[in-house]
Amino acid sequence: MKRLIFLIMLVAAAAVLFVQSASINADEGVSPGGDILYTKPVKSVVFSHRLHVEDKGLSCDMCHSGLFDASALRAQEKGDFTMESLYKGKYCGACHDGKTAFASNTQCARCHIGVKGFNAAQKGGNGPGMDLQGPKDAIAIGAGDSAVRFSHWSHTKSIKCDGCHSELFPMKRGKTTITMGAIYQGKFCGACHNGKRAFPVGDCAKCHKIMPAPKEDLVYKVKDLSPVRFSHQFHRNLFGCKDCHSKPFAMKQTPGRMNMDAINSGKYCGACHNGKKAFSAAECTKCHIDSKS
Amino acid sequence: MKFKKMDIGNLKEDGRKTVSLMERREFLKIGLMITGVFAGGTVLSLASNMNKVFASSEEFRKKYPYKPHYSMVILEGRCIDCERCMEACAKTNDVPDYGYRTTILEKDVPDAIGRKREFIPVLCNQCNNPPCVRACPTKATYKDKQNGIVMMHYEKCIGCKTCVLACPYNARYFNEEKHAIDKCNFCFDTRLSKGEKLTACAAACPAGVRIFGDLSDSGSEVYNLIHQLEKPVWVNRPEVGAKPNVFYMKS
Amino acid sequence: MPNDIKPVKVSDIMKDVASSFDSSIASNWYSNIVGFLSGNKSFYVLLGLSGLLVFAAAMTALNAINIGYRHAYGVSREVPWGILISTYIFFVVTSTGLCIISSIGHVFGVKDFLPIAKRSVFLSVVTIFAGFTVIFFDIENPLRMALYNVISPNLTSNIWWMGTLYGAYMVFMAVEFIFLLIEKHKIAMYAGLAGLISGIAAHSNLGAIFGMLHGREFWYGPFMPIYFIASAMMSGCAAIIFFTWLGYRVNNERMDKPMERAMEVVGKLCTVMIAVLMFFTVWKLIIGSVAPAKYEVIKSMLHGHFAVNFWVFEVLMGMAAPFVLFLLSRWRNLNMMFVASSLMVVGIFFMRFDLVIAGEAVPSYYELGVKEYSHLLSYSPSFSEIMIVSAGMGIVAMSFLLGEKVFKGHKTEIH
Repeated sequence: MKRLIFLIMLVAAAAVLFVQSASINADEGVSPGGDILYTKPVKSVVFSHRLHVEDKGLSCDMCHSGLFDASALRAQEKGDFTMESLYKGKYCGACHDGKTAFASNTQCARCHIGVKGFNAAQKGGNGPGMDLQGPKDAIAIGAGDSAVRFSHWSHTKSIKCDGCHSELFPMKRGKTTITMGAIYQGKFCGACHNGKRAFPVGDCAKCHKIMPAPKEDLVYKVKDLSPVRFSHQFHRNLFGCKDCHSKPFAMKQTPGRMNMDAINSGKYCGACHNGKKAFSAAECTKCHIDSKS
Repeated sequence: MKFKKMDIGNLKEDGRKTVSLMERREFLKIGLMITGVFAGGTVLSLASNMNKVFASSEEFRKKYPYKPHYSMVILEGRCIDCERCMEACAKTNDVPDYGYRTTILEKDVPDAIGRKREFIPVLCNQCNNPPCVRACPTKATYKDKQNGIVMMHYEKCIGCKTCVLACPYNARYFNEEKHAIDKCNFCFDTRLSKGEKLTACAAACPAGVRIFGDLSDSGSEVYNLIHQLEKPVWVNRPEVGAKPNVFYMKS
Repeated sequence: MPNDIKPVKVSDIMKDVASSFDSSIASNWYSNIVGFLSGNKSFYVLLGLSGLLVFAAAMTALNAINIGYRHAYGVSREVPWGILISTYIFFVVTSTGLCIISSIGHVFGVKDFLPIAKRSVFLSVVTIFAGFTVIFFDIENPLRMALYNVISPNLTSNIWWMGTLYGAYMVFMAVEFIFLLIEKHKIAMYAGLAGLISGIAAHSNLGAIFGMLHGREFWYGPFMPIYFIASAMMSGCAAIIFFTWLGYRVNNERMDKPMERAMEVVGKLCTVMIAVLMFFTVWKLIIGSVAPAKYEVIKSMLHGHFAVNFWVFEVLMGMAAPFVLFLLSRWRNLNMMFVASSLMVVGIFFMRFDLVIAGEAVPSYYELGVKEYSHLLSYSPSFSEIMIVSAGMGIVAMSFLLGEKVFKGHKTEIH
């Protein structure tokens, strides 16, 4: 159910706010980090990120978009992480089928390094975990002046891959749709950037070096009255984002709540338009421009 | 094995042409016995020389002196060193942590193409000509007359450790709890004698590395793996001449 | 048994023995004690020290039994035989050598060798006893051995033959010594012959234990039994010179002419035996260097792990230096011969150690090329093992010192 709402939200928000896709190419320099040592169902199998990423040049999303979670060792918790599954094309078997890479039912000890390999790795301090840092170069989210440059490296200092992938951000290249609306809902960046785990989304300029206030006016349709046009451009010249968001305006549309009674009691526009900071809300025609009355 | 008495005087008088087929068979058999080629390690050459040496495949089968003639074929290429066999062995046979009855050796072949690693399970080879049995001063270790397993009378062991040195396969260790040398006996006391068909290690192996069975039974898997010329079969340290009953294949 | 060979009634012998015993030892007990007390200060210091060593080692051995040999000793599954076995071999080699050399005199009647007989026989009993003491603490269940050697013998086992024959040997040598003591030379000779035969048989079996391990390339082959007998003769000569010289120092006496002559011939024999051993060693190296499985060990002896043991102790101290010293002494300079023989005793000890340890150095699966066994195995003796070895030395030292006093310098009348 949650997922359905999330999807609807995504589609709706896409139309309103900027819609861009992020693309990560492994060739741009991924630090592959340590090996993964699977210990189930048998001890042990080694997977080398270095070998697959640096030597073979695979991109992250080739494996981390359905075959494997970006969480080390999560695959082995699943009941079907067996050779049988591999033969059917799951997990490693997707490539290790004898065509793309050597078949899963050959060269057993190439991946299976056994208890001896496990012990040797433990001694060498190369335990079953990983310290991947992700792509070196910043990822451009969005396009144009307002694009956010996301740095994997500054984030992977404190978070591991599975902190974001793939629950918050699927590793599917070019398919990710990130909207501010979703972020405000606690999706994507908003999962952490909520003022608790990381700075809140309200600090627009922290990510958007050039703040992209919507160029087109917001149009509030009012029953029986002419619509109100709100110019972000005009207000942005006078105020910072934080002055209005997320108080008195939450960064999402709240249809039906905003009415003159609320405004007159100091909510919404009334927070400023009270005759002191700005003109009074009683000056109807200043906002309801085409009002007949 | 019984040696049939041969009348050498009569043989000399007989012309070569009059030697019957039966006699020739007997002669060949005796020749084999003298050269010690009746089973175990030399089976490899036997398989390829079967027609030269044996009159029929029926005779070929008779060469295994034990019934059942327990044997193990190790499909080396399949081993992934998960060591479940070792765990199962230790649990089944009360093997202490400072010893082992079976272990897995690791071989690195850095120049190999593809897989550069090989795991080689080793255990007591239950030799047909066991050096340990010859060396033991008190017959504490002996070859079972029925099934050919090299077993221990723990109470007779004086702990001189000569058998440990005599064994070409490093299959023996001194067990403090038993106060005697301990070794693999194909789980005879713990499983086979209780009706189980497999040793603990063979049963535990997830990759089907250890094929265990009766070499004297032409229907068994071990028999069929060994009596073929398509894939090479070998034994460890054949030069010692111990005639082991543990065979190796790639997979 | 000598009784079977010689047509003498047993009862006659017993009577003889009883009367001789009466007159020679039992009746002279007070003179023995007086003789014992006549030693000087350093004698008692040495005796006390060796006694102390034996006592300390006994404590260590008890501790080793208590905590288990696996924890107390440096041996392992791959190297199951350590310094205790090599020391056992050292002692029984010496014992057999003493028996062989002394038998030249009183068994085969070569007069020149007679003066050394008593001391040699006594020491051969002492050294074999010391050897048994050391191996007692190596064998995990020595008490089972006594039982199952008898009721479950394996006649194909060299260990069985070695153990049984050495058991008999010790009895024969003890009997020989007693009869030498009471001057019953005829019976002593038969006992000596029996001891010689069983000793040589036992000792060659000891060599064959190694020679018949067909999984151990370094030992395998007929070389070992022959080498053991040859090196026993060398060790015997060295031990006789060593202990005879010491014996005369302990008793503070000068050698008489026959004794000096005996030392000369033993010295010459010793020189010959060193040459023989050199010959063996050279061929061992040359043959080993073309046998792939032996080559690794030979390499480690020439310029590897065993190089110091081999070149310094085995070659220099055990053979080369004594050989030169013997030649320089012209077999008359007894002091120089003593130095040579003491060098040899040390060298031979290391020779035995190398023989045992080097043979185990190549792992069973070495040729398989696996990681676990890609290097030669090593072994170093633990404190407990060294203490037990010292106990063996202590027993020999103590018995030697006591023997010199109690048996008054092992004087033999020449008939």
